[in-house]
Amino acid sequence: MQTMRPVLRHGRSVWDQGELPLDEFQERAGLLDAVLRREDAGGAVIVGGGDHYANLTYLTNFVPGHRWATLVHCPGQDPIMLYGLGGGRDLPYVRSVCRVADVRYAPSLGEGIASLLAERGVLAGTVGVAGLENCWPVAVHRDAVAALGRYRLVALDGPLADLRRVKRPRELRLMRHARHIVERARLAAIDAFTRGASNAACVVAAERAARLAGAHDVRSLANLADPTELRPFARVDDRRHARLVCYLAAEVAGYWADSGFTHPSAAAPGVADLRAAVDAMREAAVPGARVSDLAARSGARGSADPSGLGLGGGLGLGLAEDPRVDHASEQVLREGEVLSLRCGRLGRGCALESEMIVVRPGGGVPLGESA
Amino acid sequence: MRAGQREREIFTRRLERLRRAAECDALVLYSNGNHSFLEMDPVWYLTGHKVLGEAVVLVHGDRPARMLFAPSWDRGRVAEESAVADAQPTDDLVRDLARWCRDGGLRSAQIGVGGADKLTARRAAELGAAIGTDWRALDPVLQRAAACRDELEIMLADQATRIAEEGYRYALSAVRPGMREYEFGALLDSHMRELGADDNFLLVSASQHNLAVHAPGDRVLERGDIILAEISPSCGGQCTQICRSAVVGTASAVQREKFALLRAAMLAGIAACRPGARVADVVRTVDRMIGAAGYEQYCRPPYMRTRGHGMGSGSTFPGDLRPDSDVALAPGMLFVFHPNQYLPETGYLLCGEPIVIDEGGGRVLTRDVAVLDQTEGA
Repeated sequence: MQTMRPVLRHGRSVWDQGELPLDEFQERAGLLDAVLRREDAGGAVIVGGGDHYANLTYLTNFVPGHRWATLVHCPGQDPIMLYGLGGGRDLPYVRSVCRVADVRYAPSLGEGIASLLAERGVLAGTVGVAGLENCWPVAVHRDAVAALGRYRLVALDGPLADLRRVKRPRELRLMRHARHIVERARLAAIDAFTRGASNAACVVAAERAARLAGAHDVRSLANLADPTELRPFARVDDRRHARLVCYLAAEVAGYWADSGFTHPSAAAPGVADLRAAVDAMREAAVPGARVSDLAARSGARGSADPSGLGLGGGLGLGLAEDPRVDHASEQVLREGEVLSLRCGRLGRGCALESEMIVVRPGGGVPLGESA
Repeated sequence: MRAGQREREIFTRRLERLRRAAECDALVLYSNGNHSFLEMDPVWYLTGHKVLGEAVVLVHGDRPARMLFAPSWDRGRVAEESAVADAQPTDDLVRDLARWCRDGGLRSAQIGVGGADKLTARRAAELGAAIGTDWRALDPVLQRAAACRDELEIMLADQATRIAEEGYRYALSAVRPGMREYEFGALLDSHMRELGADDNFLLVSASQHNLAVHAPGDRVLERGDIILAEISPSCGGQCTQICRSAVVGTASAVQREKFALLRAAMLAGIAACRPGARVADVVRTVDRMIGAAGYEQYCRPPYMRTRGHGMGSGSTFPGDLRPDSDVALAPGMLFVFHPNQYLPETGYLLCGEPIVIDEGGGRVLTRDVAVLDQTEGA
């Protein structure tokens, strides 16, 4: 779901080594090494920033705040990360929340990367790259690619996204934790609504609950100014509608969970149909199923859902990962991937229902119940 | 921002300002939906609308500006807020922009692009194919054209500053030893949301001896900690910033003395902020005062970064307040002035105010200029 992106994620920011110990990142680095071997690459340059931080965070635990961060990874050697606006005052802190001990600032990014690769003994040949084309501004990209002219650059975006689709046990734990935070936020919103709060105040109550529960980032949409559509919170608004239709998402250590709901659902016509559509998609979410079949099970017709809100899709180190649930999708589900399935309606009878599931042989299992 | 008659006139003036500055056949203003505290968003500047996803505004000669936006379901908010009346939803921004350019005979025209610094390499290539190859990035030109903020931007910054001050007062009244950094940040943030902030560049951290301010973590606040807070809410898309330091418990004499030095340097710097004054000279005023107290070596990285900076989403002129800046201050420029830095006796301290340059000099937007706050015995 498209949400309003904040200028800075400003919630709880830590490296919880109980949840994500160093050996977990060593395992993940090993998976990257295997990809590099297949590509005959001597190293990798992984860039993350904005909402495209997944590959970087997967390997470092670091979710960049300002702009982007760049990881230089060479098999068998300690990784190095380039980050910051200059001056170096942030670096001690960044090292404390990042699996990478060697964090530096480079005023010229391309030259900085080239010198790090050289420092690691990678002087020529193939280097795998990810995130260069969708994180760096065009001018930075142009200069950096020019500075890396001696290397043959091979895109790793696809292989890394593929690697991340099926969640590892520790990733599932974190996503369950994020889902728990979203549930607390949802209950806070419902409680505020029950006590007579405006729809906007319900959203603020939900966000507060999520942040107090330890969310790093929180996103929300609700029927605020207009009962028939969803909007991000933007101002004080005393309007209270017959029901609260809300989308909430919370992120922990880069991992997202979300929830779309309508309250009170009993008073909202058509909510049962939306819930039935979500349930139908969940039941069809078995390994090997075509994603387009899930979309068909939702009952929505045509190339897209009628609301335009989307039917959901993969969730993890991003709010919108592969696969997206779409009638035209050719992708096939895999066991262990996490989906957020969603059905909504805008206009009169505006409503939203959703469910987070793990793809299992017997059908999708709600994330909270998955072992 | 809901556009009334007065706002529409302001946006008309902004459009004329950009047209004059651009000196090309057409302007394409781009926003990727990634909002920044340190960058200008030209779509916001021209429409008053904070976009959810990608958006472009096409300005072609004297014709009315047109806007494309995504996602399509956001149309109600766009219709209500955008000063550009012809705003159309799209599920393929590049395709629809190409059609507009083709239909408008712009394929061989000179096109300037604002927001080019928000284009990724992939998007730049796609946009280039859509509008033709003869386009040039105009970000510095537009930044300069919009450098002197108008009454609407100042009003929004003023509102955001009220929220920042009230949010800080609220959170300070709630802070207790045993509370975690992120809990303090959560209270601060959510109270500012209650007051109407649409966003926040918020950094909150604490230590007995801070090296810098950073995102909040699990640290449990304890007596003697100094809480650092960069509080930067946004109203209607315009950001502001106040920088505050507070001691959990009671401040020591040394802490009070060192904070007073930074505060005096800040006030001297603000007094030097007059139309025509060079940023470098203003910065030197601050550095001289702190240097004279024996801290010259701490007036440079890694002990500090800059003495202040512009604030998004409009022009971020005058940019960073650095000793090598040759920017001359002018009426309407809006920025945060903050001699935030590390001192060996106390650690890093924050002390900063948003100011706007008026004809008579720098006007502080806050009601209460920073003091070293304390949670007990205040």
